Amino acid sequence: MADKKNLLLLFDHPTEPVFMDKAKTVFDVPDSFLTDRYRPISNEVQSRAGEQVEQRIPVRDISIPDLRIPMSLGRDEQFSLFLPKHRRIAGRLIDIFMNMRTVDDLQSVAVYARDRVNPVLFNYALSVALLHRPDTQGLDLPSFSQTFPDRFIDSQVMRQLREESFVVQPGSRMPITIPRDYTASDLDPEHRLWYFREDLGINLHHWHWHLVYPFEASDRSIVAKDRRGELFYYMHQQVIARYNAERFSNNLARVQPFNNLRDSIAEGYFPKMDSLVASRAWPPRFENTKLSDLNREADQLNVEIGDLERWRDRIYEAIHQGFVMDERGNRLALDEATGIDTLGNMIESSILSPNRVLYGDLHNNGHTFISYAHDPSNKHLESFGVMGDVSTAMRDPVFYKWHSYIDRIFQEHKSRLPAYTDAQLNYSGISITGIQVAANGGQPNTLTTFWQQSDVDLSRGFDFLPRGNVFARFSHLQHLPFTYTININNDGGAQRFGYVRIFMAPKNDERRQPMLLREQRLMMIELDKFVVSLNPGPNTIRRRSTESSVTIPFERTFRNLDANRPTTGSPEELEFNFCGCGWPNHMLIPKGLPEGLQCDLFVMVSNYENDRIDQQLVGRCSDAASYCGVRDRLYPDRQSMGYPFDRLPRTGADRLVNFLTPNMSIVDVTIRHDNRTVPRQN
Amino acid sequence: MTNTDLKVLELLFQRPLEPAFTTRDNGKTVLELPDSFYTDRYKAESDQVGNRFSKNVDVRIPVQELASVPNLDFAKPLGPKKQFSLFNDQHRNIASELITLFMNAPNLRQFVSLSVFCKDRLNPMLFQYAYAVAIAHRKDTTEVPITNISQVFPSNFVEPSTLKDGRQEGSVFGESGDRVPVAIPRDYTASDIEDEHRLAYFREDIGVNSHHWHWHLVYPTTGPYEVVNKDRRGELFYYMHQQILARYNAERFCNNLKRIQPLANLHNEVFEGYFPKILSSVNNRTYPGRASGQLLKDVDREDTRITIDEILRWRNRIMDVIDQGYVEDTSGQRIPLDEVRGIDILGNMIEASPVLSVNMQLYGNLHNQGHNIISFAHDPDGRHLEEFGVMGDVTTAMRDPIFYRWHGFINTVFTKFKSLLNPYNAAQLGFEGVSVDYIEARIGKKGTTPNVLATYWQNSTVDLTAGLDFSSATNVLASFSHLQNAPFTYTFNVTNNGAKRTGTCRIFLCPKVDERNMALRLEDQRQMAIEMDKFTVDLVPGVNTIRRQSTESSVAIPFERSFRPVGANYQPQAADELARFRFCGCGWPQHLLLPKGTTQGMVFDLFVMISDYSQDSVEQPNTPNDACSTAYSFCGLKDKLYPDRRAMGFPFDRRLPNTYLNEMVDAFGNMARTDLRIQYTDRTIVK
Repeated sequence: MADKKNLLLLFDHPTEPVFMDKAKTVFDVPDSFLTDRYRPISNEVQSRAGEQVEQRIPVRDISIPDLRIPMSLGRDEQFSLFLPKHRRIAGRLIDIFMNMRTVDDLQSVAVYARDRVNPVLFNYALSVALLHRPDTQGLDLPSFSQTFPDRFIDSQVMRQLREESFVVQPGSRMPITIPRDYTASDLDPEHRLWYFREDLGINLHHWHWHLVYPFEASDRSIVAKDRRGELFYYMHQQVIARYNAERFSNNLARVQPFNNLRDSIAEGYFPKMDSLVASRAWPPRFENTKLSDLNREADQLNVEIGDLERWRDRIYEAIHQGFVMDERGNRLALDEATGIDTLGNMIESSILSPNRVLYGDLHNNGHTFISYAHDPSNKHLESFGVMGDVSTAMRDPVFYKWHSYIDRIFQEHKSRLPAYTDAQLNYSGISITGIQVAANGGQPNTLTTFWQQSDVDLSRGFDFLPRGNVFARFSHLQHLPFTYTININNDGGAQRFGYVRIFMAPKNDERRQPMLLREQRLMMIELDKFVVSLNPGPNTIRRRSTESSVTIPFERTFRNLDANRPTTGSPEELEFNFCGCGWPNHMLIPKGLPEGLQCDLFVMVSNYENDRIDQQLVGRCSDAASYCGVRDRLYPDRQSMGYPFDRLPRTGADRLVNFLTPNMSIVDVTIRHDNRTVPRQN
Repeated sequence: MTNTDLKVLELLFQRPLEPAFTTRDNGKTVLELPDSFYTDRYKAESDQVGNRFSKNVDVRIPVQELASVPNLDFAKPLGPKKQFSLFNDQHRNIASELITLFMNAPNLRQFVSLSVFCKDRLNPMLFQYAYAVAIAHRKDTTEVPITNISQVFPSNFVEPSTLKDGRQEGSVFGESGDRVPVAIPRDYTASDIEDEHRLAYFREDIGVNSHHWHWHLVYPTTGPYEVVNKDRRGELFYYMHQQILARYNAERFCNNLKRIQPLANLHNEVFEGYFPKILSSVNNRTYPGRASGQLLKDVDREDTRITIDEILRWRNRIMDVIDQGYVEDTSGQRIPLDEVRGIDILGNMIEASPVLSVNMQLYGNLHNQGHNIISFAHDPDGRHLEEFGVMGDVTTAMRDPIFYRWHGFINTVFTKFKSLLNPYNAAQLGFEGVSVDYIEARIGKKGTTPNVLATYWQNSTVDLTAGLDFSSATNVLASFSHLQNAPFTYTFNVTNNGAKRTGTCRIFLCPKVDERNMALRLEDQRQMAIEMDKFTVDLVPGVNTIRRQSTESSVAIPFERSFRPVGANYQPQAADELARFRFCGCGWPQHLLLPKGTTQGMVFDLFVMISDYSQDSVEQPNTPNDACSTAYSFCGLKDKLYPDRRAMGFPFDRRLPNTYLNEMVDAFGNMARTDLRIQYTDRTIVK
């Protein structure tokens, strides 16, 4: 019986032949599994690695399902989830992996497939399968950034890392520093956001979110997760809210939605990364590029800008009519409860879309159009730019323009829903009497950000080199951990439960004028959401920023698991179980300004009786549920995502302060940025 | 003593990015460095890393301590991971200083030590350039073969997955015998919807691009005066590039494309896009592409400032002096642009060489800055921290379709000057008493038809081990296909009605019709004439039969030979063989001697002229044995004068007295022409 953990070794060294040694282990590959090229020499190669090998894993020789479709994508092509052709190919491979009866058989077919299918496709399909198969639960998938570091870091650093591992023995290797400003200089105002767009954790989150929420699969249950369409809307809406707060932290105006597809895109972007699989650079987008109709035979793409515009117009029409038309001509109402979920699946789009013919595939195609703007007819045999891949798209300034635009469509729907009434907002008998937030020993209501340098081990992604760790050292934003102290009064005589919802938004707009709530609500960043029990009388709630329901800790983002993983079988290990999805904790709050960014911190306690979903939540990596949901469970909050700010405020509540009911409160918070760099203490 | 020194010098062409203490020569040789040679990164672990690499080697060569440690601060602005450009003033100045440093090393052993010391402290491309210039020009290193640049930096020449695959082969297969050469893909930079892609086999040819590098190695624009100031170098700059254009235009005709349009208007959009896809190993970045329809913009970067305005001003001033007939030097002296020296002055001025330009202040830096402004079009102010595109680098510039448009423009300036000179007259063109009665070119096999030549594809193998840094791979071979022509023989019957005398035989190939299929007039045709060969013949009284092999061409070098594995073991031993082996590397690749032709067969004029040697001969001041055989028509002779007194390109460099070529041939007995058909077959021969 195969140990399911061995499957994880198949992620390492993705372009090396499968029989080469991995972490002192080799797979005993049946001869019939070897490719023709390697059959004559596999024994010799394995014996060369002989001294270091401590474990040999038997691989059963089984009859292999038909892999022709997965193999139709070349080993050195760029794989993109946004391309329908690639999605079909990936769907087939996921099916194959999902349908293997046992872990043994899965291991055999995965070993067989590894040297034959595209390495990124392999990683994606195997990851999805391991996440969704009942018999492979509880596995810590290695971080995608460690397997394919080329998609996350400067190509020059890749070269230096190669040099380091070639020249220096493992024990003496030094971390190679990833330069902070390598994609652009200060001449480019957009570059001020590099630390956000190019953050490893943010891009990993995005990759992971799409692993957990694929939009196509032949097994519908993989896609049809609870409120996935709404979560698509909400997660991306929050990304934009966060991005805009970062822009204010850098004296930039909010991002302009890309609402005219015929306009040129002023922002250029040169990623400066190479794809190891394709041996190509990620193509740049030159400044002032315009989109063109796509006609790329190789990708089976033939789409016009006019198609996108038609889909958009039909979606707007559905929103304004209040219903969508499904494939049989039935009207489905876009109501308060499920309207946003329907729209999310329709705009993204996923196979849950009520009518993909009529409403098309707007969001995905936007990515594709932008990513091919430099070579729309494949004349120059160029692959897609970073916008064409979920692990790299968030690096590009245009990602935020495109998603601002997508969000605008969702907001059109949201703005037509009735405002929350006082009754829907209030929690009678419960009032907040005070809130304060402070870093340990710091000034109250002042948060501090700074730069931190951390090391990440990338050796799994370095193929055909002497083994041993190679570390890259990168800089990222960090903040002093802080604690919320919330005083809540329960006027009733019995214990009650409340759902505490914490948001934050800048107070002023880019003109330094106080914002109206209809504007400010779009910038509200969810910081945390948790259940409290309230005894009669005054209650003091303390909550640490590291417990946020939005984020996962740094260690989970990068999963340097070997170093400090909990003991096997302990409850902590269950907690530690991989989910990977989750906003990186080091990006919980915006950078702020040296002189301080003025923000409103908002806290609400809603009636948990109205919000609760009855389900068991233990050990299901539920701690970043706000943006990622909970695996195999319902979304753990019955309210609309973003509640109470997802709709227009009620009449009279034009400013945040007028919006407050007794169970809400706000406090002024200043985010100060301290421009110094601190190495991480391990 | 010298044997090991020369060996070290050869080894320094290998693994340009690896520290000097790693193994070379397929893992067989290691240099033993004095402790002071280790850079700071490795100093602390010098024992450990030194031992790590000297374990299983056959040969250990100790390197001598330096008598005085050079101050390399001058090279600081060019960091180890920056792209080095010969078109960039700052880079050229740094290179010039380094060349001087190398040239001044007092003896061979100190030169060896200095080179080893510098290698790990300087930008690798800068080092390889200056080092190769020094090897080519130092008196004590004439025996060191300069490794072909495509083997030192293969990444600048081949599709990037080749190198990955090469590493993989080496790493997976080790020394076992199952390895096959890695195939270098063709047609990877564009598809057939891009018309310009039909010329990819020419623009992206390894031999073409390494020739270009090598030419600039032999003819640097900066450095010590005696290195830069070579006989007729300005004229050669004009002529070599003019010939490239003539060849390129002929290839275009073979591919149903019209002649290139000179890039005369710098404010127009550049409609040719180009995505090189090759990856510089120095900075591990892909050479940036240029989208179709890019506008050129003023460049304002830290080390480069160029405005389109100033380029246009230089062009106008140069056009002015051509029309006036003289240039002004820095002291205001007028120097006439005459028939003899004019083109040489213009060449050095337009290129421009700061050492040789008569007045750089006034006439500027036209050709180089054109390369620069084009190469930075994607990021003119450096905001995106992008390096230059392929046009900024002599190893890669010829890949880009825009290269030919820019040089097309440069050539129109030279052509303007040439068109103002008097047409050649009968005394200059004729050779009294000599008549060429019959000419043919024929493939050297039985049963072939005269004047039908053949082209096809050939697969050759190149050894990439020298350039595969940070890999323990040995003997990594890659195969690639390139155009090839079947070797052929010229046979000429020449009657000499006078006494025994000497003539220069000049062979050209000219397209007959233009892109409209109209017969070319001589005035157009002469500008498209391709020099095929030039050699001296002794004519006895009466009938002479002259035979000449295509492989002897004075234009080309047998390029395949430079693809041999690097290292002393692979060199021939016999002295004459050795001399031939050490061709200087400069020269048009033999496999592109003929244009591609067409499947139906494309007809050219084969033109032969025998000129009067008494008007051609050059008195060489010193005549040591040729250090290496070379393609002197394009590259001159090492340490000698250019071996032909006539203007380069004679007789087609000036206007001619007749309207059509056959009229001229009829008028002069010492000329002949015949129709020559080039037949292309789409098949690949494996060598």
